[in-house]
Amino acid sequence: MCNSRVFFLSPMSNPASTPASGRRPTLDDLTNEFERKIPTINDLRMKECYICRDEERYDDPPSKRREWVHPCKCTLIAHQSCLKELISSRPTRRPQCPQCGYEYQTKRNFPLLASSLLFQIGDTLFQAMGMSFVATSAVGLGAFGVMSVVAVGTGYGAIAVREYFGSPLFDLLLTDSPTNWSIGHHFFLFLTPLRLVSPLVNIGAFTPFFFLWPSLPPHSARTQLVAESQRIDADFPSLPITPKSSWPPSMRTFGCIMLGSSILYNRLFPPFAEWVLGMKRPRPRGFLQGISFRREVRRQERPDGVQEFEQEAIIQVGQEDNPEESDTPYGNLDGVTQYPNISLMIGLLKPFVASGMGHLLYLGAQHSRVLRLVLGIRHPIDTPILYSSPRFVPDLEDNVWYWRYFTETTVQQMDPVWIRNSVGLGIFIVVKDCVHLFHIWLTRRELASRRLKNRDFSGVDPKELDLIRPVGPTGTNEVPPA
Amino acid sequence: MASISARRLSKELMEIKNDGCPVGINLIKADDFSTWWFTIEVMGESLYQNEQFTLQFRFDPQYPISSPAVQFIVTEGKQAPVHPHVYSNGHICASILGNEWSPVLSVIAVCVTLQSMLASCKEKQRPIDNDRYVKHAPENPKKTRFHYDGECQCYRIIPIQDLTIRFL
Repeated sequence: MCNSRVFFLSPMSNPASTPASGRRPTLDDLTNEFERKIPTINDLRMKECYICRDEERYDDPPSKRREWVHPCKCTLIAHQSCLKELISSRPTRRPQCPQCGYEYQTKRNFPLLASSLLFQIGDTLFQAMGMSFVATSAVGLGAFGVMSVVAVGTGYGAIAVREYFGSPLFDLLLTDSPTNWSIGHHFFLFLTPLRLVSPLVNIGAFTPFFFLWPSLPPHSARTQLVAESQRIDADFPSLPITPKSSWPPSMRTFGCIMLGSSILYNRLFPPFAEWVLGMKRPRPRGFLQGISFRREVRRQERPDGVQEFEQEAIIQVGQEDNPEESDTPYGNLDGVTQYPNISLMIGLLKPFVASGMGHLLYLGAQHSRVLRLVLGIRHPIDTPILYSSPRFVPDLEDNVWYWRYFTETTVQQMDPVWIRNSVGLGIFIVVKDCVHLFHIWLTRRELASRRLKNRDFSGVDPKELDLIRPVGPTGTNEVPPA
Repeated sequence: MASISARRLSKELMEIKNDGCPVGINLIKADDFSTWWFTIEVMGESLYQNEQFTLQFRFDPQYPISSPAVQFIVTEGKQAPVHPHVYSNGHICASILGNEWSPVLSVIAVCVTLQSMLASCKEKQRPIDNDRYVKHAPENPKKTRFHYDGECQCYRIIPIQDLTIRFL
């Protein structure tokens, strides 16, 4: 189908090639002329487009002249329009000649190209803008999500702290609006739910706060206090400041007490648990088990937490390497009796538990003077909170020393809610651990008492068995050989 | 441009009428410029000796820029040849009917190529995924995106619109 019908027209006589001698041109002269002149598409006698197969003779043009093109190296030719349509029908493929494979070269109109390029640039710009808008909003949404998590955590932390320490202290030193909190407070408030939930930290969830309370009230609270104290001052004559007593202890002292007691508890409870259950725990292995490694690391970071749960977790993992344990391994028992979700809920509820226990203790203290002394409870009506009168001190708002002193005395006079809350929480935790221990002990007893049921050899051929009195062929028992 | 396909097909038809078909190929029916039928036989010693198959060509208005839809007829008691590139519903996996089609080819050229494809077959077998393909095949073989693998059996990927219609 590849028609090689290519006919050359007769060459025109070229005066330059006529030999100077004036004789008639020979065949050699004519051949030279052929070689010198390279034919183009217009020299063809019969043109056939390989796409539409239309034919055109050189001397008989059709009514509508169509433009021809020879775009490659072989003999295929086509109409410009047919070829353009072919190329445009397959925009992804590079156009090449089906016979010789030569890639078609296109000539472009430069002014048109430049203007279309401008539009293309505009399009790309708009698309980039659209993409960046989408990306920014996605990032914004992500950041919003993170921030809302942080906000929830911090809000919970604030509520927890208020429950635990009592609202008078909270309103004085931290207040409800987060703008008054420093960065450290934000951070620890956000961490509080995590600390509560984590099984490492038992009683000491609030320990950092004992050391973190600001030494002066925030700015907005100060103005309010000044106004209020001026009012109080008008009603009451100034009373002498009560001397500082060593009991109840100040915030920092109490924090140290808490720290010490939680460490002590952590040291003492595991041996107690072992004694109750009558088993030895395997010593915590180091860095080989995955879970135990992680918990080990965390233990170093937080020395104040109680590590009882952590050690139990280690046992769970390290069980495979300790086959010489007594009949029921501790870890299996613990796996039976401990539910991870319970500790999560208990952790989150701890502040409320603490405040509830504190309230119970308060009620108990109404009837017992000893308890009242120990917990340092003050009846709010007996001794009104006396703010030292501010009217003697000029430039109140910014006087740091004054406010420090003010805070100290105020806190000293406040009803130490946190003390009874901490004590209550401590009692609760001790009771909870004992209950858990009891649960484990019961489980152990129950597991130890399990027995496999005994069955007789009813399905087995007696001759297979090695009996003391073997059954003979008659089916009766024979006397065993001496 | 319907006229380009009509002009070209009329030219091809005239050529067939004047020059005749190659050996083993016969034009049965060419009443219009949309569907043509040919019979095709493989000459000489081959696996398909004495077997005659019917080939159907369907042209769209973009012919010859777009390829014709070619398949073996399997209705009315006719069978498709058992060949690794021919499915049992008559669809053919051949590169010249897909991405290697060019207007320089013609109907006769396609017939000759298919004839030689049958003649060069070493083993009579169906394509690997024949059953799976035939179950979900579209009516027009041009809707299938064949994967042209030179030597081994061809597989195909059904375009998305057919899949969604099937699963709805």
